[in-house]
Amino acid sequence: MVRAVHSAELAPTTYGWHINATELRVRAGRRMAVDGLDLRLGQGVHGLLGPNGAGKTTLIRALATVLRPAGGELNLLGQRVGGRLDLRSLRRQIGYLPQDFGYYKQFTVREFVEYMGWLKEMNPREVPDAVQRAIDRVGLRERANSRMKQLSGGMLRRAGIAQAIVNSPDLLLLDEPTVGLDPAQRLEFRTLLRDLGQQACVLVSTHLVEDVAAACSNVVLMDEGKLVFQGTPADVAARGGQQDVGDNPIERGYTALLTQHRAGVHQ
Amino acid sequence: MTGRVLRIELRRSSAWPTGLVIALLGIAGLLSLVPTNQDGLWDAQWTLLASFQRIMLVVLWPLTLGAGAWQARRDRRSKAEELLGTTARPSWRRVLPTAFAMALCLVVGYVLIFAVGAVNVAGTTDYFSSNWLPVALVGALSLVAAGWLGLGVGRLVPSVYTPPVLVVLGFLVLLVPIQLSKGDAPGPESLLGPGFTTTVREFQMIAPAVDLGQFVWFFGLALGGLLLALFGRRIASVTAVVPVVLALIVALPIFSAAPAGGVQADPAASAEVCTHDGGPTVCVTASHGQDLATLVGPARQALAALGKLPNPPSSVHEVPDDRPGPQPADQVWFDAANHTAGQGWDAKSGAELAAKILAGAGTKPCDQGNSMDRLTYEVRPIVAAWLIGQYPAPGMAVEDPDENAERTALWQALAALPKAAQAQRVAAVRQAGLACGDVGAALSGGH
Repeated sequence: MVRAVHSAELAPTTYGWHINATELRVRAGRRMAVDGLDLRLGQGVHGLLGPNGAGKTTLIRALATVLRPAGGELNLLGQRVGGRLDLRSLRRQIGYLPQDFGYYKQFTVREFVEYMGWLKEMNPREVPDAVQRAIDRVGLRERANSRMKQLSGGMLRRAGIAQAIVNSPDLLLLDEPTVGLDPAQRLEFRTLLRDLGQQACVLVSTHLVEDVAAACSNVVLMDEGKLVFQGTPADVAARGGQQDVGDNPIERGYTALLTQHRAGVHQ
Repeated sequence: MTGRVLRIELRRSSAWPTGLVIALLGIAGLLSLVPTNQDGLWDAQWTLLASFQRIMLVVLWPLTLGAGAWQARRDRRSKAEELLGTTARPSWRRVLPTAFAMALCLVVGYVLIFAVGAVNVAGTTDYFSSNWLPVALVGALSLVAAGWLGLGVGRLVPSVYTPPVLVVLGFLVLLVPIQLSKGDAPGPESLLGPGFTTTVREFQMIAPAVDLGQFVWFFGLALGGLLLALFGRRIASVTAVVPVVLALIVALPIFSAAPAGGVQADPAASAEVCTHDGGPTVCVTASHGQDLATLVGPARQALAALGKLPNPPSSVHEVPDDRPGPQPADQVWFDAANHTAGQGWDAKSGAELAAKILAGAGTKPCDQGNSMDRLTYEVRPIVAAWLIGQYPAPGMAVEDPDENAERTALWQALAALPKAAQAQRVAAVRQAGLACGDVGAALSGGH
């Protein structure tokens, strides 16, 4: 693996590492989808890249405490995950948008975000303001009283982000958050991500390399359940050459890193 | 904050549609009897309304069971299990507002049914007792138990088939007490259903032991359902069985203390309300107290007519079916079955009502309805006609030619006798009626 500058080193936090995984192994069904991953992430926006089946979603689900580690060690926000640990206090500090975002269709956007605030055990007095703030940040103020079932795909995604950030999480996990967003919304979302990364560790799993280039301070590249590369978007871009597939430098760098990793594995 | 979430659940969960459906079906069930004039089954008295509402639970209870299971599938249906499962609040805390919203809406739906029925009952009778309250309370509790049980089973088995299967199973299970009650002596287990297998009549009430036993039973069932809903896991849900079994152990002996079928006489409904105006006493049951005034005139006419007989009676008393005899010689007993709830006495005029009071010379038949023998049925209006001095007596003409011929022959035989003998025969009929004897023989001069 090629080591590059780590974002946490640029922006240290009180946790040291928000995410600290050593030899982490996580099952997805019968398959060991994350297999011996070493990863340390701190405050900032981190783009999680990788081809289909790389283990990105499994990793995010493990970080969101949906899946328990099958091996190795995982520390989140200074707490070790696994065994008999009560996840309650940890979960209060996590925001999560799953790839398949499930929601109550009858709820309005405001009700759903408020309900999620309650589930995250927020201070009741802070909830109304926090809900309004989250809705404003994702640009859904005008649709706050619309039923969730009446929203378009892009709006639903934004509502999903609103519920994830309502508790001002220290660890924000977003799995494919830009699916369904139009170009203008994606630009706004990148701004939001950069803003959120000022106070939290934001891990964004996406297929859209340009989102990573524009919004992330750090790139995590996975393949076959392992960490392939970690560095800044500029580091990724620097890996690519004209012979590599891609429309822009970062895509070419991404292709080059994967090709290089797979060649190394096969050798 | 929990209050805010409860309000959200009240607005957005399936709780209020469930409550609404229950209310609409129940109200439809009540009002469907109005066009066919069968609303007397529930609007004659408050306890009847509460009991009839319980009978409708045979349909409403399984539906509520299914609705609870449907609500429990919300997370699965919405594919929100993963997202909600990563939040700090334990899942049992998440279920509580849903369960309470469901309970609240079910109770409101049940109360709405009662409220609509109450408008009719209030216009039908002035008699008011609190006997209906425990019956209604237990009914509402049983509905909450169904909702929570459905919620629990739905959480345990969040399959799309769970709600319809529960509806069908619930309905089949509720048929068991009905089948049991068809036996000669229904056991206490027949009272475990939310409905009643015995028809409650106007002068009856549900035995307090039944109310108590059913309260214990449905409280245990509701608690078990709630625990099942809160835990939602197979191993932990075993604890949900504990309150159900305990409730069963406590309830069954309580049921044993109640009469078979769970129904007993309501002494307050059949208590007498009498005139105190210095004239001959006329009494009606408390349940029909509002129609005393319309009975007084015809009743006193009847007493005057009975004055032709030796040792004539001095008062008229409306009596329910189950009033134990013997009828005192100085009283006229008038069957409470001659009253229709909301319509008053079953007579088109005062003269007709007086004739009815005079049937059988002011005696109440000892055998009711179809069990009354043919001769008694013929003799009673003839005696009334003789006392009034008009054949047929007002409102007592018969259309069937054979029956008319038979009755006319009896009348002519009586009228052919000397006046003193006629009075003697009629007095004999009254004596036979008081003693539950053979009135036919008395009229023909036999013994």
